[in-house]
This record gives sequence, structure tokens and C-alpha cells, in this order.
Amino acid sequence: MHLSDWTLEQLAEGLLPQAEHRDASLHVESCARCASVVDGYHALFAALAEMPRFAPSPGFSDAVIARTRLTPEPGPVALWLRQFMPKTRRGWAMLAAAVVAPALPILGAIAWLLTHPLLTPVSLWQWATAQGTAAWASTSVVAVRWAANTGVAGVLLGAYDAARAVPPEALTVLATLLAIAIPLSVWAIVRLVRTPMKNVTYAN
Amino acid sequence: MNLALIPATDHDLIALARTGSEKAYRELLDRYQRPVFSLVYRMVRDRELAEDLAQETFVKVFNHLDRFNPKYKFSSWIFKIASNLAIDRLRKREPDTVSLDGSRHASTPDEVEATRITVESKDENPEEFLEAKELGEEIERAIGLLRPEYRTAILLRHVEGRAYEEIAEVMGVPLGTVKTFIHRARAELRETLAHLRIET
Ligand SMILES: [Zn+2]
Repeated sequence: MHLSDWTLEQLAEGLLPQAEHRDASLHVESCARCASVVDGYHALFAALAEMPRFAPSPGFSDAVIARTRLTPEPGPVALWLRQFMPKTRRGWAMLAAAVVAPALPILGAIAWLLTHPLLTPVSLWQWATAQGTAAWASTSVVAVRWAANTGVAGVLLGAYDAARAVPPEALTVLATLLAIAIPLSVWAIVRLVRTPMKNVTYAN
Repeated sequence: MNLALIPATDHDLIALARTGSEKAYRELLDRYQRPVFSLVYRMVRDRELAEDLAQETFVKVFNHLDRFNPKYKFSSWIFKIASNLAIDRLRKREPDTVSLDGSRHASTPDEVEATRITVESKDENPEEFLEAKELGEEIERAIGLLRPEYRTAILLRHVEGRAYEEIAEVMGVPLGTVKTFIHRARAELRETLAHLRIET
């Protein structure tokens, strides 16, 4: 009995499991009809494998690049922030309302105060600075009392003396290190926001 | 990462491209423009249209790299988009006008000649080349007679050397369907080419 066309095709393609491959090969060796089918497949595969690949016109790559957005994708922090951003116009309107609504009564109160004959911007400013100074004074009093009662004042004064004892060269070195470290950390944060991490999976 | 020194994987290049590296995009283009263009060209059999569709494929892929699922091969994804675009375009055409010899948009004999799929010389021997050219053109013609689905499957298998599993991924059909497509395509090719008596 001859082998099926499907088996012969798989044999020619080398896709038969080992045992089946051996059995089929044995049959084909002794059967001219099956051998010619396998030969036909081999010839077809060889002819198909000879088919060349074609090249597009020379300007192809440039044309594609011209239509490609080359800006980097937002980094993970920006992506994280983005999920809180409204996606629709309605969303933006609601966000705006959420921000503006609490501000409205305050703006109303300010408007009312400004229409009051005795209240001028200058008098309001004086009142506000007076309140601020008073608050600062009372805070300072509380802080000094707390420091005195807990003995922290001694520590702070000791630290101040110690700092004065540091030679100015050391302070210069410290200042230089800070001058390098601060921009470096700012740069790192910016990179983190702008560059996607390599191993983050953005599958959908 | 120096692309000239390190043979980067497709996935490396994608990661780099996503940071905005034009070099990475160009490397991906170098790797895939011929395979993608050849597939699309043999599908639509019109150079100009094939060029447009291949360009569309790359632009679509490059501008949506964030949608690439690294679980899959990049080649599967780009072939999938290319073959979908080509098959969509073929469906929009009138069914019986897929031209074998050149663009059906060609109106003069010169245009027909210019848009025909021709086989270029690969070896020095002119006699052998003529024979090979004839065979090559017969095969191109026979491929053109296949249904678009059979054509995609057979081209991915034999020109691109893709595994059956990857072809199933590209075409979005079960593995068994791919096997059937390829089996039937080969049967049709053998029948069409029977008169040629191709020998190994
Ligand atoms: Zn037999």
C-alpha cells in the first residue's frame, strides 16, 4: 500500500517524527511511485526557495522615516501621571469645575471685602502682615521654650559652634559637591520622567 | 549601545527606537524592507501599490511600537500588518482582475512591461539564467493564480522560511488551517507547473 500524499509531503519537508520518518523512508526507497511524488515535492521546494526577494525603491527608508514620529515615548512617571489626566472634553470640564468651585466662594469673599469702604488693598496687606508677624512671633516663642525645656537648644548651639570650627576649605569642597549633586539629581529625575524603562512591558 | 558593533536583537532595536533613536528605526528598516516589500509585491503584483502598502506597514508599525507585545516575534507582527493590508487591498479590487503580467492599472504595453514581476539575473551563465528566468517567471505566474490566503502562507513558508506556528500567528488562524492552506497551495502549484517538468 502506498503512503498518503500528506505523509509524502511531510517526509519531503522533513517534518515527520523520527519513527514515522524512518518507516516512510524505507517505503520510498523501494517504491518508485512514492519516490517520484517525494522528488516532485523536493523540486517544488527548491524552485520556491530560489524565488528572490525584491527591493523597494532607494528612497523607501527616507519616506518611512519622514512619516515616523521620532520623539521619545513618555517615561513611566509621565505614564503614571497620565492615567489621572482626563481623557475626554467632559473630563476636562469636570476637572476644571473641581478646581474652580472651591475657589469661587473665596474669590467672592475677597470681592466683598474689596467693596467694603474701610478695607483697601493697603489696609488688607497691613492686616495680613501684622497677623503673619504675630503668628511668627508666637511660633518662635513656642519653639524657643520647647528647645529650652528639652535641652535641644544646647545641642543646636553645640552644632553651631562645631560648624564654625570647620575650616573654610572643607566648606568649599562641600559646596562644590552640592553644586554637582543637585543638578545631577534634577537630571536623573528628568530622565526618569522622559525615558521608558527597558524591561517594563507595555503589552496590550 | 553601538549598533555597528553589537548585533542587536529586534527587541533591543525596538526598545532603542522607543527612546527616539532614528538609527534603530533605520536598522529595523534594513532588516525588514525587502521581506515586507517582496511579500506585499507578490500579493498585489503592482510595484507602485506594493511600495505604498509596504510604506504604510512600516509607518503603522513604527508609530505604534508601544502596542508591540514582546511575547511575540517582531517579524510576526510586521508580516501580519503587511499581509492584512495587502489582502484588504485585494478584496477591494474586482475579483477577476488580478493581473499576472503587470499592473492592471497599466494601459500601454510599456507600462505592462514596467510593472511586470521579472526575475533578475543571479548568475553569469546566460543560458542557465534564461532557463532559470523562465522557470522563475512561471513560478511567479503560478503563485499569482493562488487565492490570497494560500499565497500569503506559501510565501511566508518558502520565501521567508517561517515556521508553521509563526505563519498561524501572522495570519491569525489555527495551525491546522495553515497546514491545509499550504498543502492545497502546493497541490495547485504542482498542477499549474506540471508542464514544466522541474527537476532537482
Ligand atoms: Zn508507494
